[in-house]
Amino acid sequence: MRTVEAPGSANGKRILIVDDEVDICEILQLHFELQGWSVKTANSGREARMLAALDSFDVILTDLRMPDGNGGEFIEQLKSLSKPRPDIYIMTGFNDGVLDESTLSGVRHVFQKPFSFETLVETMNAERNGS
Amino acid sequence: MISGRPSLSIRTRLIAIIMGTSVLALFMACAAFIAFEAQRQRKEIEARLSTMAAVVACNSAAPLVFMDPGAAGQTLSALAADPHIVEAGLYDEHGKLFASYVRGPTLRRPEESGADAAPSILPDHGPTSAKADDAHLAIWTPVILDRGVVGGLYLIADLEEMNVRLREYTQIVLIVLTASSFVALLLAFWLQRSISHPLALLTNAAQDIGSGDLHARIPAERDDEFGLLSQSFNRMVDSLSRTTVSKNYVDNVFRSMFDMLIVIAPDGRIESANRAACEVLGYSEAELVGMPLHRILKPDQRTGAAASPDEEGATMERIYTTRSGNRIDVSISQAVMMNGPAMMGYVLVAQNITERKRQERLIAVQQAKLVESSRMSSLGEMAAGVAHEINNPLAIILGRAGQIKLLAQRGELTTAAVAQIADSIEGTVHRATKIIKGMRLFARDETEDDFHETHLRTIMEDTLELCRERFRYHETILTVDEVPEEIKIECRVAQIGQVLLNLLNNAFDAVQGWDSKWVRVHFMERNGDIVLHVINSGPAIPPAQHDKIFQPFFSTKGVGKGVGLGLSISKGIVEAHGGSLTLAADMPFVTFEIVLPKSIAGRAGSHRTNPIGAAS
Repeated sequence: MRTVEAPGSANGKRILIVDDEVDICEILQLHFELQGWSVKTANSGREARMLAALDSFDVILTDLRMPDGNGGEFIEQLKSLSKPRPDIYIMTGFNDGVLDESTLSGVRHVFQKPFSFETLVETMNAERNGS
Repeated sequence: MISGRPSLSIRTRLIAIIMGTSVLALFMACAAFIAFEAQRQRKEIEARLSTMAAVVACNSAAPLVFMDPGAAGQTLSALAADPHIVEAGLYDEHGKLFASYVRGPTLRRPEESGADAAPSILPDHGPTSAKADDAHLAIWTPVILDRGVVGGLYLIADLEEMNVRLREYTQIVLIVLTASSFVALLLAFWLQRSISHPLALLTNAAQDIGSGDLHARIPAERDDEFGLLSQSFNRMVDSLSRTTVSKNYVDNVFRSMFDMLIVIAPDGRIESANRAACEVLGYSEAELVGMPLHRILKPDQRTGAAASPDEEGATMERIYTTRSGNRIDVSISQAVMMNGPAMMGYVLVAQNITERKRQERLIAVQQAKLVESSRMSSLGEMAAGVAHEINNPLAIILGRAGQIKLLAQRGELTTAAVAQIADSIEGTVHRATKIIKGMRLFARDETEDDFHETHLRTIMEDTLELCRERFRYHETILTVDEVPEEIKIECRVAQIGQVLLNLLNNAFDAVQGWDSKWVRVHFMERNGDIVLHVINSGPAIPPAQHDKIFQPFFSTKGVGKGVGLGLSISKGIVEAHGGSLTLAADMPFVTFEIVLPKSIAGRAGSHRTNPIGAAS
């Protein structure tokens, strides 16, 4: 996990990327850091829960299914935190409706893998401007 | 066999004998009595007449000698005292009528009487003599004086009164005879009844028993010989009914059987057939009896063993042809009927299994469909995991492409970076390819495919690839033994893969919710066969379910989680490969054991293609 301060539109905003696929975390980290984000990554639900409890983030982008449990549980846990709530985004390889309505209620958007970084950024910008 | 009307002939004869005997005896007694009485009366009249004649003759001697007709007439008139004497004549020694007496208005000329020949019969010393016809008795006596015959006297007595009395006697006797005969007839009837009635009862009872009614009994309250006979007869019937099933009973059973029952003579002809046989085959009983058995067999079964009854006790399936030409499937069991050493024929019990056969064919079709849908269902269980496994590599590849573009834009695309990215893409593509290959393995419908010699390692890797993701996401440890490269197996690849996947899926489900979650696949060789153990850390299977788990539609999983076909289909597949799938007993953990021969040569029953072999 490295943190790189870089010029960009994000201006040091903080993002947590959670995926057990190390490659995906690595690629996304590169893209976000080049846009000026402060990026942290986690490869398991446990690690993600730890980081979320220790630190605070503006955006959390998490995979749904991970070896140590459902991403849904992590999202529910995030919602219960007393800190200012981050924008939550989900990325998933599944194309069936795994998430129930209540989980989805606090989620900004669900990205279907595979997706391009451009799509990701456009959607996130639109969501942020819209809110 | 008892003929005609035996009781009647005995009866007639009895009555005839009794009546004949008694009537004859009575008649003879009566006739003897009447004859004796007639004789006795005649004798009596004759004796009286003789006495009278002697007295009159004695008294007439003097008038005759002294030639005094008046005195003679007086003597004769004294005869009026006897009402029987109707006429009297006194003759002198020359045979000349001296004096006469006639009684009553009937003047009877002496010439016409029996004593008419008085002069000629007047001997010198003629003795007293008598002569009689039907109505009269004449008596002649000489008139003797001093030992000299001086004349003769005759007397005629009327027998009418005697005859009247005899007729009266006869009438009385006839009446008595008739009455006696009537009484004798009654007695005869009573006697014949007492003899022939029990005989008739015995006859009827014997006929009833002969026709199969073993309830027939004879009243046995009499004390005589018939009573004893009846008791013995009843005892005989009792013991008969205890030891013998009545004919009625057997007929009833025979008739009310739902199965066809056909009795065949040693020459192959039908001897009898029950109602069910007639109904099913469409023939009347009269038509079936005497028909050769092969007529109702399907034409191609008419030769060889099928045409003649088969061995004792065997159950076999045959096709019968009905009268209208329809073919029906029958299941036959048969027995040889023996009477001592002699073969009496065969008994065939045939069950119409046409409907059952049709159902079986229907079920086989449905089973095949179920097998297919079960395969699709296990595919569906994997689909989610597979999508994830495919989409993740795609996301990586797409991300790497974006990375190249980004680096290029920034002029940072170094050779080292390109090499690193390309490696990542390559590895990711390999990963995706493996998954797709595993999918392809299962998508094939190769039920009828030939066996292919394949590396066991490949099959196992392809299969494991499909479920590895699922295990990983549920923190279930999957350990698989390294299978040596050179191990090959002749098999239907998709089917063996399906068996492995089924067992792994079952094992996965079994360990969920438990603290220790692991599944282990153990490989070994035994007697040249491949032996795989799929072991899991889940709870033990109760012994009561050890057999059931291999039965179709048995499932311990919740509703909607499985149809319960996995193990039965897997067992069928493994057995079709000549191997076995069992639950290994006495293992510390739940262990399923697959034994598979490596080649077709070591395989029995590989011709079987229906994967639901375990169902039967």
